Amino acid sequence: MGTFLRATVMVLLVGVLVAAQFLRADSWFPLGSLGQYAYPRDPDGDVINTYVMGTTTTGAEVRVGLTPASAGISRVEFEVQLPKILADPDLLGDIVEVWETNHRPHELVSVTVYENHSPMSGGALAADPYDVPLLTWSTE
Amino acid sequence: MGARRTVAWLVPELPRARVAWVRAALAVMTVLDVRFFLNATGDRGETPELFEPVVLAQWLHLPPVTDTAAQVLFLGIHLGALALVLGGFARVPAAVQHVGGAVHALSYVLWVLWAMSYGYVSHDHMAITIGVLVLTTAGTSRYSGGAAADTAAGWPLRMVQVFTVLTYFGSVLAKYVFSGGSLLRWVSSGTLAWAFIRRPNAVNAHFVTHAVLLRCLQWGAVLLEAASPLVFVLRGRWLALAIASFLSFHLATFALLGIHFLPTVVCWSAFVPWERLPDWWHARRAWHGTQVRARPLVRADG
Repeated sequence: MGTFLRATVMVLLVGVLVAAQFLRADSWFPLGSLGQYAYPRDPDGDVINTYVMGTTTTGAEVRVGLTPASAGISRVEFEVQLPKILADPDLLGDIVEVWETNHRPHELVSVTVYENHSPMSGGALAADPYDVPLLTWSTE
Repeated sequence: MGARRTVAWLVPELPRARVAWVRAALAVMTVLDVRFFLNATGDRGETPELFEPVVLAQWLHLPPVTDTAAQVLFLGIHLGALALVLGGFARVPAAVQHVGGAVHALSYVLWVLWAMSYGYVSHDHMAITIGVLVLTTAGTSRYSGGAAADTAAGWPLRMVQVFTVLTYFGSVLAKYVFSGGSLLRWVSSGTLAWAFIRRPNAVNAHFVTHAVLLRCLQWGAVLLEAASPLVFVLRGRWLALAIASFLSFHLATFALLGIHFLPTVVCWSAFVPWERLPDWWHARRAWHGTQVRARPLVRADG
């Protein structure tokens, strides 16, 4: 590879990376948007944590851990997919299946998706958090 | 800067031996990565409906990953990394590092493309992904190669350096864009408190209610990231100090958020003059040998 070609390749790749920042092109990996923690969160808004609780066949309440090793999906990925899941709750079926496979002998009869809200004021935590249930899906 | 000087900067002559060291560092990191950090690719086989391929994965027509594919890539990364680490030694045939590097690059790039194609893209993998790919173009390199330099070695090393620095500077651009064209809006936002609340731990619990402190930390982060290109004009101890500052930054984010950024951290190795290490080591051993020989013999029984 010649010197000019090498230089051109580098300039082009840097150009793609810069363009990705302005176009917010997250999917251009590895030259995509470097947007981790780049979004300015409302200093007076709520911080939302999404989590999933399940009810087992024995009636026990268990936390469905949102990690790839536990449920085949991470919390961030779950939050990215949440609009799809809210529109089609049956998508939870695959997550439940993976979780049950990784947590035998537990079996779930239903799962509930919650949002935990932590209120901020002036860019700092200002009050106790509270939960908001989003949807409950029965496995049967 | 004239066109010739620009090209000379983009494609510099850098020590070929450094390629062997950086390849080894990145190879070890990729093994740690697929084992402990970006290990989700092996768990994706059960959730193909969540597959959202990134653009490169679309171009390559990658289907959702299967368990078998993930296991093959896992093996390829391990064997390739071993070949790269061993291939740096002068007695090992050059073909080992060439074949190993190709297998390693192919396996690792596919692994990360799949890992990033399930909804979340982590940007600490930019420099290492590019580095693993471009370092295969440098040809044969040995740890003991000394200071001999050329552009075939310099270009991939410069690529790693540039994209390591752009990981920080590019994130300032992203903050500017996401903030609607005002970095002031970002540093005045609740982003750090948001991050701490979502990743609570014993350390950040002390910070999360202190708005002024959080704002100062946000200013510090943006200023450090914006200053990152300065490493290209620093030399010697000043460069070492600058690199140490970024490593300290990552140590702080690890303590506060549990985010280690190790795939980017290891790419800072492209700035380190590893090629001097063998000479330094030999000189040190020779000096110790001299000291031992010069020491007067003292009988234990006096």
